[in-house]
Amino acid sequence: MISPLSIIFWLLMMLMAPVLPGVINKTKAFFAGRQGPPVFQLYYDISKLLRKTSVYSETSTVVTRLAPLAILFSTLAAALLVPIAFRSAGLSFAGDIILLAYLLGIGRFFMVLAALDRGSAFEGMGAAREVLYSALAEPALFCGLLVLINETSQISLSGIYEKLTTEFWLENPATLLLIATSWMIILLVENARIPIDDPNTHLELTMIHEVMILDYSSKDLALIEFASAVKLAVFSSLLVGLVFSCQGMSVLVQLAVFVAGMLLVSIIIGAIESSIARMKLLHIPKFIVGSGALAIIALILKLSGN
Amino acid sequence: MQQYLIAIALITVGGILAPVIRKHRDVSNIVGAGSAIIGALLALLPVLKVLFSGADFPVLLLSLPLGEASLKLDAVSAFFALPVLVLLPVTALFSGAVSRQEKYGADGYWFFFNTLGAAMLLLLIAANGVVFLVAWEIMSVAAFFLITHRDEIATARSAGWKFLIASHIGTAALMLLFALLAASSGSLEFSQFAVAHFTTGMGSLAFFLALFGFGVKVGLLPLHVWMPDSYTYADAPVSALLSGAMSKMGFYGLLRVLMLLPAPAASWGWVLVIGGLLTGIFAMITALAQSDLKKVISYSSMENAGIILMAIGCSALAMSWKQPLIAGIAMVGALLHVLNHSVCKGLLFLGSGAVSWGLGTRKLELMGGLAKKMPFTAVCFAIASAAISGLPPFNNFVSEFIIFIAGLQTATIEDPAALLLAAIVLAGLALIGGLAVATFARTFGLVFLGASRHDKKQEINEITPLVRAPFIILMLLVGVLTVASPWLLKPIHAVALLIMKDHAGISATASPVEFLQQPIIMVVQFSLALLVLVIAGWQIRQRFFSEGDRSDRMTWDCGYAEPDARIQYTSSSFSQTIVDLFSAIIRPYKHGEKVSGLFPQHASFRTDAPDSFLRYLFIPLFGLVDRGLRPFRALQHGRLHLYICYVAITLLVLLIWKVVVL
Repeated sequence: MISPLSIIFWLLMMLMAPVLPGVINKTKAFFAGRQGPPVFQLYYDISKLLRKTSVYSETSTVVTRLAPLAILFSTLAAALLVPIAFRSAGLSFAGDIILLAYLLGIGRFFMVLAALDRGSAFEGMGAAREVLYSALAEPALFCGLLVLINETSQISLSGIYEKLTTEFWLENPATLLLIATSWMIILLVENARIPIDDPNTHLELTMIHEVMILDYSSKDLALIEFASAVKLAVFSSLLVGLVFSCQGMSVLVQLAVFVAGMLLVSIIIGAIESSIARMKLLHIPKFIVGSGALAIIALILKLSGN
Repeated sequence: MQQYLIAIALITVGGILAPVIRKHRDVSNIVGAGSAIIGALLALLPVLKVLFSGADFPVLLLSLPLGEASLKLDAVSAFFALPVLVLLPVTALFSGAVSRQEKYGADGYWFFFNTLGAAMLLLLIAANGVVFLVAWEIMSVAAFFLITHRDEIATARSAGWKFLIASHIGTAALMLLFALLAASSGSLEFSQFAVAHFTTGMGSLAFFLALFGFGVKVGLLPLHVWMPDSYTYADAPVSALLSGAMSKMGFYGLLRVLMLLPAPAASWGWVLVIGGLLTGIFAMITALAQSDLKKVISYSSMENAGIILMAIGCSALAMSWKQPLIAGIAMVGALLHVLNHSVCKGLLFLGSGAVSWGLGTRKLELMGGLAKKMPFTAVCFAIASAAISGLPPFNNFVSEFIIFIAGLQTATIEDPAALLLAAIVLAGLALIGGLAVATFARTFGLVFLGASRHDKKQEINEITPLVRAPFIILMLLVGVLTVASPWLLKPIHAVALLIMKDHAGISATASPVEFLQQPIIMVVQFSLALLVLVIAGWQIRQRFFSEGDRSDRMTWDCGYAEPDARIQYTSSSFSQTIVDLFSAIIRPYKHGEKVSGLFPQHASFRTDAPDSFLRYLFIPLFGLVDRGLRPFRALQHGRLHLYICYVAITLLVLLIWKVVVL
């Protein structure tokens, strides 16, 4: 059922995931004229955190301790559903993207519960924002998906991505551009990047993702950091599979193009983070709905073209 | 079939006996609850037989004073009997178990409880318009008395009146509907309706009457206004029964009428889809703004009604486009969601009962940290919250997944209308689902997690072992409905086929069951494997990696020396972002003093969101009706001799009319 190659690719992507935040930070350092932390910084951080012991708030319950595991495993499971390196995903069936979205939903559910578990003044704030923005981002993601399904007549992710060939995109460049932009925005929203959230901020009042994990330490924090990196990799791979295509080439070429694509996405994120400021919180919903509107425009373009 | 009728009789007799022997309270409770439980189990056998082995019971002819009426238990009736037969015994058990502290045996509780159950069971087998309406009315009136069971509480009384008025306006539409059907077919029998010839206009009129009449029961926007209040102010087992079983009768009625009418027109489907979408979104954003635990759960019932209506609408549209595969998938999804929602909602309402009895309040602002004091209730509520938010691996995810597949499959059709439908279904479900996650993460978090906001000295008791039984049964059902879902597809598809008849044609390539089987098996296996992995990981972590951990520190609060429960996020603050975004729709009340000056002393903030449709549509509307009818009050003065005069005048007018006109 699951091909060995897809498992190997999945493992490779998991191993590679912590590089992506490193590349983003390197890019940001480059724009700022600094040297910046090493690309592999997150690996060091994770290994350091894993060796520490945890401190919990006395208010916390089992939810705080269970959440990192649930978040990590559901994200790893979601990664098994995306096509990696232009190959069919580890698991592929009709409607798999729905399961993917809802697996990430499990992670979010636990993250929010854990944030409320400590009874903090700040973590609840991050949780309230997180649930709203992701509730708006999901429909936008599906709007883009709708166009792709209509173009390819396939309803599984691997089936859709198989049909997105170079010739196909040469015929519909506008559609590609619109959906890619729309999904890029969703990537920024879902992964708490600028202009939605600032991973480097140190003011609790303005944070979203970072504020929810304020109380985590050691192994729990390591698991969450890793899960966030994997989530970024999942969204990046969706974007890479959409934009690049190397059907019918050898495995090595595909892998090389895929890795290059993933790094490119990280560099673009770094460039975005370096060039624009964080948005006012009130404007974020409009921004997210706007990304859905881009996908709808792609749909209208397609309908008017026929 | 006989067994089913005996069950109805048993439940009714138990309900009559219980108040008669109310002096012996325990015996009365056992008779009331016992007859409901045994009756439900008795009726379950023929129902399962019809569903799973396709048994066909003969039509039973009932001799009534004005002609004959038939009763029939077909697969559609049997399917909708399931929520009743699950929730009736479970809520009876719960009521019986808490009856000592709640004094249920002392009054008419069991009479109306059992009557409601029996009326629903009778309604389901009615194959005649008159019997159907009589059962419908008994059901509504019994529900009214159950809602107002605590008639010393003003809010319960007013909720009951809202329910009674709303359901009678609905029933009026249903009477018109059956009159219309009878006029076109010359009979009140369902079998005659089905073969009668309807013009397009007549068919549409009948459908919209049905949508209005049954829409009141299911909570279709804007006819939902009775729902949040009634479910909130009724007792927990009553809310569970009303939301889990009675409101499902609305879906039954709607689908039954769809069966009797000719192939659905596209306009019906669009109305259902758009209506469902608006219902779902409105319900969720209003739910997020509520500060009463049971109101949140009540609005979530409305949200799920929206999802089901959307799926039925999607199926109706696919029928009108001759897309048998999509029509079948959407209908199977709608039906399965009816069942899944019943079970989860039962669990949530019973859980809310346990919480509010333990704490003495339903206000989210006064809760928090209950997981430590009520661990069992917390686990039940957590599972129910995750399930109702549609998260895998629980049962509601399976049915929402099926509806999503219907949407995805619709997107493959090369037609602007189909794409519009797909966009509404996919984006709408995703938005509703995302808001549901927000709502239930908020609810569970505020009730069970964090620091407790209530009085520290207050003693909070976990529910007793006997009261846990209904929770365990419902949790087992959540598990069964998840694991068994691949095998449920076939019987449910048989029900769907009966509803859709051959309106969409028969699929040449694949049947919905074959199409769905593999993805559903994958989804269930995959998410259960994930559950096992998390549990295993948890065990390993606790055993090997928890050494040296300490949990005696304070929560980080930006350096406050002594954070206490009052600085944590509250229900109003959690929903503020969302309430602000949608304030044009929910129009919240904001209470509190603004922060002012350099060294502000005291400030507070609280939002509340009573139903917009009640405030801006129905209260003005009924006020207008009231003012318009006020002149007629002069006729109602209570003087007997003038009433006799009215009768005499009426007779005189009729006499003159007879002589002059005829």
